[in-house]
Amino acid sequence: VNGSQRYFDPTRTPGAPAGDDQDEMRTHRMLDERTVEAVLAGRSLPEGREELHDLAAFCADVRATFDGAPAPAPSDELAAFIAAGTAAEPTPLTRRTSRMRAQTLRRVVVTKLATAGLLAKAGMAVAATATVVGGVGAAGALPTPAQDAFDRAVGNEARADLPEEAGFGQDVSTDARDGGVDGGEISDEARARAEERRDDDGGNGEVDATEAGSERGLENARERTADTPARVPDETPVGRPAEGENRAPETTPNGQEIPAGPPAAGDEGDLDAAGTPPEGTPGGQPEGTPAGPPDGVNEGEQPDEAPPSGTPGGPPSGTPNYQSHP
Amino acid sequence: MDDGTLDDVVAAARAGASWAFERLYVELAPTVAGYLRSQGAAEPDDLTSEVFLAAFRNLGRFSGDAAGFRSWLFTIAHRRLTDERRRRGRRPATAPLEDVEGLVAGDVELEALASIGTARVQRILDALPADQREVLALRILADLTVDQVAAVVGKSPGAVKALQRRGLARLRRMTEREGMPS
Repeated sequence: VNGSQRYFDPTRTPGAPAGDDQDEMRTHRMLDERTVEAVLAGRSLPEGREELHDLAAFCADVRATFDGAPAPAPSDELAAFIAAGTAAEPTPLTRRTSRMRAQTLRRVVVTKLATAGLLAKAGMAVAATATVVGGVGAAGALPTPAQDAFDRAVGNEARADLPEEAGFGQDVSTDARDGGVDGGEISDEARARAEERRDDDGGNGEVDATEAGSERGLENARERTADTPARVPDETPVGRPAEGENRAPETTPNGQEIPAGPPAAGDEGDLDAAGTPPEGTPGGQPEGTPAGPPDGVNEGEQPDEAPPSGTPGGPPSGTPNYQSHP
Repeated sequence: MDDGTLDDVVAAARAGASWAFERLYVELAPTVAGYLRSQGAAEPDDLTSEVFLAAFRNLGRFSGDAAGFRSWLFTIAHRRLTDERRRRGRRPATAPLEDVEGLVAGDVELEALASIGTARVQRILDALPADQREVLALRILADLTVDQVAAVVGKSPGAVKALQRRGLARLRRMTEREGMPS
């Protein structure tokens, strides 16, 4: 009587004889990483692993079954997107972020309104009304009587009649925005205007107190200067200095020209020579974008235009190589 | 198309070039559709279009080379497939056989053999647990590395290696039991 028989309990399931797992995994050698990679990639099996031939063949079948078909026909939406060739849309993250910012701002305003006192609320209402009325009034969109009152209050009348000098500044400003500033031209014009002004003043060295261009302010300043030469004029010019006007050179009491700043590049030539990028500098092509389709594939074609026609490996012009549905 | 060339195409697609979108679709759509079909997607072609539309629309968020784009594309495919399964609310079903049969053309005898082979491949794959089948399909069809597959399915590389080893062992037993068709 051996040990197993001695402790055999007839009420329990008898143990299986040793070695009955011959058909299970013990008969297979473990798959090492190199073998796994070879099987999955369809490469030749390592030496001594010929028993994996069936497995490798099955993997090849999987590849042939599911990866050998032409591209399925795209949906209408996708086909339209491909045809349009638009750049990537703003990411949902960006849209969500901007929406979150708007919600946060709204929440802050509501919270501040809710917690503010009555006086503060009234102040905010007045400020908001003034902002709205001011904006509309500045745009000249108020009803006529209201617009007249607004203009009187803020001096729009003077601003509406900008003197000739203001036109010079506006021209300079417009030129600068257009990228077509000619320093030489500005300098010449400014010099000519200064000379004209000296002639008008009779060369007596009177300082022009009305650079803003208000004739009314100029007359007042002249009168008061004549009465009390050492006194600063009481009446401040109503008009706002016109944009660009301060570029005009000032003059000394003896009529000499004072340069307003460093010499303009235009004195020696075009501003472009001083480093301003010339108009029409290409900037639309993103960095790293290939100038054209890959070599040997789409030679001679422009990438942003229609796909190349008749190129090897590519779909024929206008007829993508999609699988057509019946 | 090699990865170097595809790098240029991906870069051009990011710049919005129409020809690059088309080239990417023609190059990669068959593999994406095959992967979805192997996973039992109900409408693999429609899902493929959805995957590419999502990828093209969000190209601004993508940065990387062709290999990275491929991995990203299959990440989208994996998520769309998961969504579709959730919508269907049942175990992944196999694609209708006629969809696969349509891929083979020519001799009737060859067609019959091919459809038998296709059905066999599909049957064996369906016998695998879903996670093993998914990992093996991404390795075999999408040609992704272990790390890339791990990123796609949201598991660790070690877990992916274990899944592929178990899946291959199971496939090996099944193919040996059935024998390869001559």
